[in-house]
Parts: sequence; structure tokens; C-alpha cells
Amino acid sequence: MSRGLYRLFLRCYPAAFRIRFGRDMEETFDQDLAQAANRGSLAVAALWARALVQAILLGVEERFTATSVASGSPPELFEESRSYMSSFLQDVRFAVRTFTRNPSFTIVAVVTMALGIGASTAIFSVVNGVLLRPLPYPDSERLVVVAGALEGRQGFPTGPIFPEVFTDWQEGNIVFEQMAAVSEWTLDLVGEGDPRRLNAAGVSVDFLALLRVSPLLGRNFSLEEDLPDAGPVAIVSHRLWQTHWGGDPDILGRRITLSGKPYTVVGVLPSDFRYPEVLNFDAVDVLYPYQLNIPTQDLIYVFARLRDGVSPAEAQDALNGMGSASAERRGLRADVIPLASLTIGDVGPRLKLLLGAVGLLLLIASANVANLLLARATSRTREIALRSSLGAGRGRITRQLLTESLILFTAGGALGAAIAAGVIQALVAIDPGNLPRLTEVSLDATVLGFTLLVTLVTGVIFGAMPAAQLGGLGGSSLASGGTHASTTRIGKRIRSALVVSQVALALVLLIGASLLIESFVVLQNVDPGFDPTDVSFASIILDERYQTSEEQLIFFSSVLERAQQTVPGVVSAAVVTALPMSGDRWRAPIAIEGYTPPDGTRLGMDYAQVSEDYFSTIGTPIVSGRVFSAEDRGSDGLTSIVVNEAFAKQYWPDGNSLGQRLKIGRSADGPGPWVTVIGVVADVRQQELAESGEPQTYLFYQQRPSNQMRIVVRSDADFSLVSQSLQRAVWDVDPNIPVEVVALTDHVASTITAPRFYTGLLASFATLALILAAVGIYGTMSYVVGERQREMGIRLALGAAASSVTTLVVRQGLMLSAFGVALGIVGALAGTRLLESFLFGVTTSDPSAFVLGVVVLCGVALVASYVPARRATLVDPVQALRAE
Amino acid sequence: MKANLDPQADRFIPLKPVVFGIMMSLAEQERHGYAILHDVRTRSEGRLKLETGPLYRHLKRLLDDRLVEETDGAEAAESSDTRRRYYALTELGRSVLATEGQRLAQAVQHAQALGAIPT
Repeated sequence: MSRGLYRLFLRCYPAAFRIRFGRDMEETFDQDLAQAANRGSLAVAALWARALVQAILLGVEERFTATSVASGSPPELFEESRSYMSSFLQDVRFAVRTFTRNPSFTIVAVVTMALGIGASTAIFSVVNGVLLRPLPYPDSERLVVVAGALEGRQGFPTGPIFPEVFTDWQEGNIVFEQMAAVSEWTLDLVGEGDPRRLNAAGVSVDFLALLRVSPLLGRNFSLEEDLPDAGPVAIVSHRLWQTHWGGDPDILGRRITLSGKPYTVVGVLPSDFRYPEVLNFDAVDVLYPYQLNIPTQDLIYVFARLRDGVSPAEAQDALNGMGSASAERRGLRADVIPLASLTIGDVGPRLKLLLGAVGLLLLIASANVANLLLARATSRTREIALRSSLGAGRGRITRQLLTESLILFTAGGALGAAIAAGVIQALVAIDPGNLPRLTEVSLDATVLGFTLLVTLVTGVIFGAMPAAQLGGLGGSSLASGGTHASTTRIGKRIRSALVVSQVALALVLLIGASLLIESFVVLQNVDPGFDPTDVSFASIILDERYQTSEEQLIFFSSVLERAQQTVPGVVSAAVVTALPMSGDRWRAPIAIEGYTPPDGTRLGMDYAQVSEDYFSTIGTPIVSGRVFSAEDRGSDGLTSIVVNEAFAKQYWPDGNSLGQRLKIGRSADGPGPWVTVIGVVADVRQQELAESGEPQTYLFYQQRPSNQMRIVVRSDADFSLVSQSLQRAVWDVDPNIPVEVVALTDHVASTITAPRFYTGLLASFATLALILAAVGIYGTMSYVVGERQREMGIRLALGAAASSVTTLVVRQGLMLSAFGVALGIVGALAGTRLLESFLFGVTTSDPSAFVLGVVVLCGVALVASYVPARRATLVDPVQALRAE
Repeated sequence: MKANLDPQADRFIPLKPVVFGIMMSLAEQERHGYAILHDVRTRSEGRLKLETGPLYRHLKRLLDDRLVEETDGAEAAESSDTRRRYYALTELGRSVLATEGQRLAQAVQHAQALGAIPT
């Protein structure tokens, strides 16, 4: 049996070689196999694998060199590689000469390939930077996040844990080399120009050591600095150092004020430091010691480095089996998640989708170039026949054609890499949102290797087609110069197949893009439950100078008052904690009077604190009851609540929500005060446009003040005026608070950057595909017309109407397209299923997208075949007949 | 010393290490395919990797260039079946091997003179 298989391998060699050595080789291989068997099955498998690869490689090589023997030239064994090289260079020179002589062909072919390869390279570089490359920390595969999961509390965010749980876990830890706590805050840098809001991370002392990062300047935090009474110190980012202090070398030891507290700068992070993108911030400006031992209720996130050989699952079991008293008291379970998978998140499928789309585009481009090469090769039959009759062997000619193809593809690949470099730069600049690790995307060795591979593989496969077409031509049939030789029929068939597949692939892309566009339009036209036009807002976070609720209340009330008086064209102004689509989400446990939750679940609600005019300011309609007013002011603590329709429907489906009572927060389980529903407002898309109306509640900010609020203003005045006056309104009250004013419409638009980006990208791929397919059809039909010129001439001479000749050609073009469309529909039905999770309000088999795709493609096919068909009717019969 | 070598031999110099190995193995005695494989591998202590496919391509070239010829194996095979082919060096082949051997020996001498390798 093994002999039979090896004999099959030997089929790769030319027959002459096989006849001469086949039997002997089998014999030898058999013995070698027997030897390998003594060393075990692995050796046998390796031997077989090598035999197969060698058979393919050597067989092909032998086929090429075999011709020189047949043609009688003396085989020059040890100089073969040299002669091979020189004939290769000869081929290259020849190819370059013919390409420069026919620049339009060359430009079209090279640019087509460059588009295909450039697009694939750009997308692959994103895939490489985001998914494939390890995180930018040494031994990053051992980095994990230890997230806390609350048992039996669905809907509560998982991730952060309480400091004392961290301390417990750290003390009992045997599975981690290091653990570090992180807590993200914004701090305001004041006293140096306009106040500036910084992303800051309070970290335990091991944080940088855990990531294996050392500061560029200065030092890491010391153990003593983790203690409460240590003087506050900070390490600043390279970016902040450069942008704020111009890279001042005397930065170390400098005293800065962050949110009213003095810090001493002890270090600067290296420029290539990447803050883990798993929490809220994508980057940080400042690190400071978190000083965990301060008794605090703040939640922290935990990073850890696994000991060598410990898996995340083992670490998780160890932590949960440890029996931390504080974890058990709070019903907290450890969830150990690799940092890499948390960083990448759910972006993987999207990128794979893009990679698939760009792969289709590459195929279309390759098919196009193959088509061009085929047409060109056919028109060169005479030249090749001449070369062959002058003694060039089949192998020699094949090699030359292949060299030509490879040169074209390589030029396309090089240009494609340049295009990709530009695209990557643009991509990083645009920052499509939701794409982690974007700054790590670059044209590195892996990506260039990919480009080279794609170039060579497409070059060999598609470049070999003309060679295959002509390879079948014997010297004599070529010498007779017949373009009607039977082998051109092979070429014709290959060309038709290429056009059909191009059309099919383009249709798949077109339908996919239509679906995404449709979905995007639906998304854009979603009624968000508020009217963002003419609304601007500023986010304010009060620092530690505002300790009490009264102080916070006074600050926001005074700003609000000023805004109502001074902002030009102001219609109304309000404050809110959780503005729609801002990513803010506050949740509290609740108990509802007369409502028993299903077993094992605990109720919770999303809430936002608002001022009286909030709903009118953002334009949310009131459905029933009333909203907060002056009469709710006087009371101590919470008395009233406004809910949205979804909330009311969920708990009081029979519609009598007004006057119902519930308990909120820590008092939910106890005898705490009841809060009464005073009004119901329309549903607002609170988190994203793509959600359906989620239950949401509103509390009165006078009854539950906060130190973080957004000031919202509706004004029909120019945005820049509004922005300036709102800034002044804040700084009149406190000049040390950073204010950045944003238009709500921009803000809402920014929440759909990701879908817009993917839709736009896919739409541009589809457009490119459509253009390439059109070029493909046009090229093929032009060629067909050229080939049938004589026939057309005769038809016209015999009195055929011009229109009937046009119809003839167009019909042929449309026939090919129809095949392609049929295949494409089948492909799209299968392929668009992958789009399911990216679509909103549109099904994957949405008929209008399919109809649109087919109509557009058929229209393009019609035009692309009509133009050459028109030309067919202009044939002068006499000329055409004489041409032969 | 070089005088008695075939002047044609220079044409084939330098030899690839594997080809040198194959020719050395045939210089000792005529051998069949697997014997060559085995000899080349053991003589080089496994440093020369040689497999069936490449072996026969080299043999083909060596045969075409008349450095090696096929024999009926009278010397080596009394018991083996007659289907096996044996290969032996031709006179030209011996000259080429000797020329290459001299070249290598000279190279070693030069290297020793420079102190690059121990004597």
C-alpha cells in the first residue's frame, strides 16, 4: 500500500524521469521507510511529509529542466542554477520591455492588483495588530484580570471588587507572581493655564512591575508611598509630559496640583507604554499610588501575573477555594480572564468579517488581472509560436509567461503595500471607535510577509492561467499561427469562468454592503426619545473641595442659574448625572411595594439624577403625571421618582403606575423610606441607539445631589457662543474646574462611529468590487467582439441589422452575468448570515438588499457589455473580411 | 599532482556537499540507492540530509554528465534481486572527486596557516 502511495507521489515527476528511476526510487524509499519505522511513527509521518513536498517541488523543477534535454542542448548540471538565473533575468528584461511598450495594460493590471492587495494588507494589519500580536508587555500571555462576579445578581456590572477582598486574595495568593489594584478617576490639572481634565489611575505599587514596565525618567512608586500618610506622588505619561510641559527635562520633583491636591512628579512613562484598554480609559495621563489601606468603599479592578505554568482556570479555582471572608460576605466570586481576550473583546468577529470581505475583493482583482493576462496571451500566440519554432521549449515559454505574471503581481503588491501604509495612517487618525489597540496597528514584518505571500500565491495561481492556456499548444500548431486553435477554447472557457465568478463575488459584497447600509439608515432614523438638536452640554466633576451634598448642590444650582441668565438664546437649562449615550450608568438595588421578584433574583434599577427642566431641555415627552418641581425641594431625602414607560410597563403592566411606591439602595432590604412614582416619561435610548427602550428611572438632584453632573443647555444660538458662555458660567462660580462643551448631536453621532465605519468600509469594498467586475465584463466582451470581428462583418455584409449584432453581444455578456448573479445570490444567502449580529432592524435575507444588489449589478453588466457591442456594429465588413 | 587529472573536471567544481557525499560513497564501491542514502547519512553523522527524491535527481544529473554510470552490481550483489540498479563512479567522476578533494584540502591548509582551525 505504501508503494502505491509513493508511486502516486512519483506522478509529479516527468514521465521520462519516472520510467528511468521510478522502480528504483520505490525500492529505495521502501527501505528508508522500514528504517524510519524503527524510530517510531513520528519519523514515518515526517518521512512521508518530506517525500510529498519533495515530489511536488522536485517534480515541477524536473519538468522545467526536462525540456532542455529533449531539445538537445547539453545538460549543464552544476551550472544549471547559474543558467537558470540568467534565463530568469532575460525573462525579466523581456517582460519589462513588453510592459513598458503597452503602458495602459500594465497600469490597469498593476493598479487593480494594488487595490486588491492594498486593501487586504490594510485589513490584515489591523487583524495582526489587534488580534494576532501579543499585548505589548513581556510574557503578556500570563497577564490576567481578576474580575469580581456577584452571585445571583444579574444585571450588575462585573469586574470591580472591594479593596478588602483584594487584600484577602493578595494575602492568600499562591497562583500569581504579582497582583495589582487599579482604580480609574479623572483628576483636574489646575494652576497652569486653563484647567485640564486628566485620565488618572490610582494603582498599587506593583502595577508597573506587573506589566514589566519601567519609567523612562525617574522611578516607580516605593512601598512607603503606598501608605496613607506618604506625601502624594505621581508618574506622568510621555504624552502629557510632552504636550503640557514641552518635554521639560526638569519635570522630576515638580509639584503639580491635581483636583486641589498637591502631587510631586517622580517619574515619566516611556513613550511606547500602553495602558491596558480594558477598563474605561484607553490611555492614562497620570498614575498615582492608590494607598489601598485607606478604608474606602471605592471599587477597584485587579490585574495579576500568573505564575509560570498556572492556567487562568486553575488560578480562578484557587481564589474561589481560598475562602476569603470578605468575598463570601459580599457574595463575590473571582473570575480570572486573560488580559488579551478582555482587551480584544468582541471585535474579533467584525475584523474577521472585514478580512473575508477584503478576501473577496482580492479574488475579484486577481480574476480581473488573470483575464487581462489571458486576453493578452491569446493575442500573443503568434509571437509565442515563433519563439517555440526557434527552439524555445515548452518549459522555457511557460517560465517566461509565469515570470511576466509574477512581475506584474509583484509590482501590484509593492504598490499595494504603499496604499496600505497610507490607509493604516488614515485609519489610526480617524480612530473608528470600538477598536482596541489601534495605536499598535502598523506595517510590520508579519504584515509585509503576508503581503508577499498573498502576492506570490495570487501571482502563481492567476498568473499561471495564461501559461496553462498556451502550455497546451504544441510547437507545430503554434507555428501555423492559428488563433482558432482548439486550445484558445480553453482560454475562452477560463475567461468566462473568471467573469462569472467575478460577478458572483461582487454580488455577495454588494448585497452585504446593502444590508449594512440599510441597517445603518434604520439606526440613524431611530427616535432616541429626545431631540438633540440645539442642545449642548458640559461634564463637570467636582473635586475634593466639595465634600458635602450642600456644597455640591450650591455649586450646580448657581451654575444653572447663571447659564439660564447668560447663555445667548437659551430656552432652558438643566443638570443630569447620566446623559443618554454617555456611557454613564448608575444602578441601585430596589424593592417594589406589592411585587415579589422571581426566585433568586434581586431587583435593580438604572437611575439618573435630574433637575426640574431636564425633560423639556432634552425634549423628552411627559406621558403622564408630573415631573419634579419646586414642591419636591424642601423635603429631606428621597420622596419622589419619575420612571419611563418601559419601567412602568415592566412592574405595573395594568397601567396604574402613578402613586406606586418603591425603596431604593441600601434601604431596599430594610424599613427605609418609600419613594412615590409621580410621573411617567417617554423611553429614551439611554445606552445606545440600537437598544430597545430599557427601563430607566429619574431622581431629583435636589433630593440626591452628586459631585458629577452634566450641565445641559438648549439654545438656538451659535454653538461657539453657547460654548463660551457656558464655560464662563462655570468659571464664574469656580475657575479651577475644567469645562469642555459638546454639542449633543455630535455626541449622539459619535456613538455610531463604529457601525458607520464598518458600513463605510464595506460599502467602499463593494464599490471597488463593482468597478472591477465592470472592467472584467467590459474587457471580456471587448475581446469577444474583437475575436468575432470577421463573423460580425459577414453578418452585417449579409444585411443583418446593427441592432441584432448588438443584441448578440449584449446577450452573451448578460448570460455570463446571469450565471454570476445566480451563483452570487446563493453565496450571499450563505454569507450574509455572518452579518446577523451586525444588523439592526434588517434581516440577513432582506429582499430589498438582494433586489438592489442584483439590479445594480445587472445594470453595470448591461452597460459594460453594451459599449463593446456598439463597437461591433461599427465594423466595416470589407475591413473585417480582409483582416484575416 | 594535478597533472594526471582530467582537465574537464574543473568544469564541475565546486561540488555541492551532498553531491560530494554521494560521489565519495560511490568511490568506495558501487552501491544501490538505499546504500548511498545510508552511507551519506552515517558518514556525515547525520549532518547531510538526503532523501530518496533529491538523491535520484542528483543521480540523474551525475549520470547525464557521465560522472556516474549504472552497473549490474556484479561486485556487490550475489543474493539481492537483480532488479536493483547499482551506481559506480566513472573515470571522469573519480577525477572530479579528486579535484574537489584537493580544493578542499587546500582550503583546510590555508585555514590552518591562518590559525583559523587547529592543526
